[in-house]
Amino acid sequence: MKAERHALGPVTLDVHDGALAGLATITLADPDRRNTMGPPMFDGLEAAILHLEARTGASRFNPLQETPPTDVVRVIRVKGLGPAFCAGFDLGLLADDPDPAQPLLASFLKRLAGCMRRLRALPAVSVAVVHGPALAGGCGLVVACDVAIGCPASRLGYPVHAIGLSPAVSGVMLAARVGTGATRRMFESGEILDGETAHQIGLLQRFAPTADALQSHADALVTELLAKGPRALAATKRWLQQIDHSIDPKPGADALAASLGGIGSAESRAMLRQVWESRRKS
Amino acid sequence: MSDLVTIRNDDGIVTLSLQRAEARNALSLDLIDALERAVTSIAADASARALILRGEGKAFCAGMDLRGVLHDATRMGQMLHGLARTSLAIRRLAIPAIACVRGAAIGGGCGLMVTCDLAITHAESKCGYPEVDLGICPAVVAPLLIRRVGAGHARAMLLTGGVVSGTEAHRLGLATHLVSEGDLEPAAMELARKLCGGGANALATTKRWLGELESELDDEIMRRAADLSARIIQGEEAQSRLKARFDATKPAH
Repeated sequence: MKAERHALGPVTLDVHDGALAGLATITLADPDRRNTMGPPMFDGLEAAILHLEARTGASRFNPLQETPPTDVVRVIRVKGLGPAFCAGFDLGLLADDPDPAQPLLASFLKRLAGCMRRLRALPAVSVAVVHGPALAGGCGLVVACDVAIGCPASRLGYPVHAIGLSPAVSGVMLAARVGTGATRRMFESGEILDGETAHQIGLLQRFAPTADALQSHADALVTELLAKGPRALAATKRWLQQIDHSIDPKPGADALAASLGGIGSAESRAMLRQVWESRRKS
Repeated sequence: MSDLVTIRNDDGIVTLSLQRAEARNALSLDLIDALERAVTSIAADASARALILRGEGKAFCAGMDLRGVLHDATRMGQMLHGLARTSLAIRRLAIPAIACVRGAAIGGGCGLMVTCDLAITHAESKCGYPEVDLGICPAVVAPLLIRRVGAGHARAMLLTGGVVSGTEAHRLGLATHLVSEGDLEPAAMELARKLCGGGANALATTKRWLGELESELDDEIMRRAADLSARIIQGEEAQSRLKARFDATKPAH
């Protein structure tokens, strides 16, 4: 397998070779905008996932029948370039949307839900490397990955009630990750958890003692995963999916509907504009 | 009763001991059969008020004893189905079960640990599921582990494999109690006595109700789990990895 790099707008997809054959890295690479999610970022993510659906053998490999072909991607690392992992939706675009029905926000929510579900459904094991803030939609990407590794500088949460929005779209996978008690805490308070707290409640499963050590810890985790039995790993992931219901269509659709239900109201539009104005001034 | 397990009843506190210390209580087909029969007899014992499950010797249970049955799909399947049935039987006992984990609880052994209602261990023990390292799919323990530590931790543990210390097992919720190694047995006994102090009826009803809340943990899902695991072990990947492991670690005797 030859190394490949795909430049997908603000997203870079690397398929590695040599000692790292079997690994792909999705890098959110819009550091000046803290990797916020707007149409170009969603385009890039969707293109990367589409690539990976082919490269992980999602359509041509059944772990019950056979051993994965040697050229498939078995492990996926997701990381962010710059100060943040991902700061969530692009509020500037949403605040400037003149249509009172907020169709742009609706499309962001649908595309986020789609990316999360498709990422989780891939046969490869995914690892989020959370070096800084992963907020709202960014936190959604983290919980969609099978494993998340962080450090004391990690910041995770859903501060979205402030813009009149419900984080429900992340709810199914968040609850499967940390339980309903911690999900309520995070959703209702909107608090941003520091790395230690996120590790304590199980939102991060691996934890590096310092930000500097995070990359080497993440590399070690990825190398560890590449050494597992590929067929056993794929079969185990598939079985977990079946018994934890994290990609069942019905709860996923209900969660998206709950988030969509809150948009287009005067409250949502006024709060969004207010937050954006105050942020622009500061 | 086979000599692979022993049962002792102290005023209602039943201690069930795995007696295969020379093999670190690795689960052979015979041991699984003996364990299943023992759990069935305890279920029928009206005097039983609490169960302590322990392993004789240095280790609680080193996991499935796959050496010797690698190429025997029938026996392998029987072992996995037997373990699945035994886990459900422990889960369905009307009395609370406490795993007393010394040394190591690996793979299927760690499955027994999380099947029990409570688990007590010490800081230096080794617990976990290294199955995927060996090309095995830990399907049978997955439903039980999800209910013990939640789907997030279960996903990370089963996919990343390896083992963790008793301290980390306690942090993750695999173990409910952490004591010094010397205090293990007395602490388990004390915990069992405390449980016996509660109303037997209330305990049984509560345990049954918790079982009902785990609606999907039924015979069917455990059968599917055992089938899946048996199927993956028969594959080339698991066979070659297990053979390499066995060649590297010759039996002690």
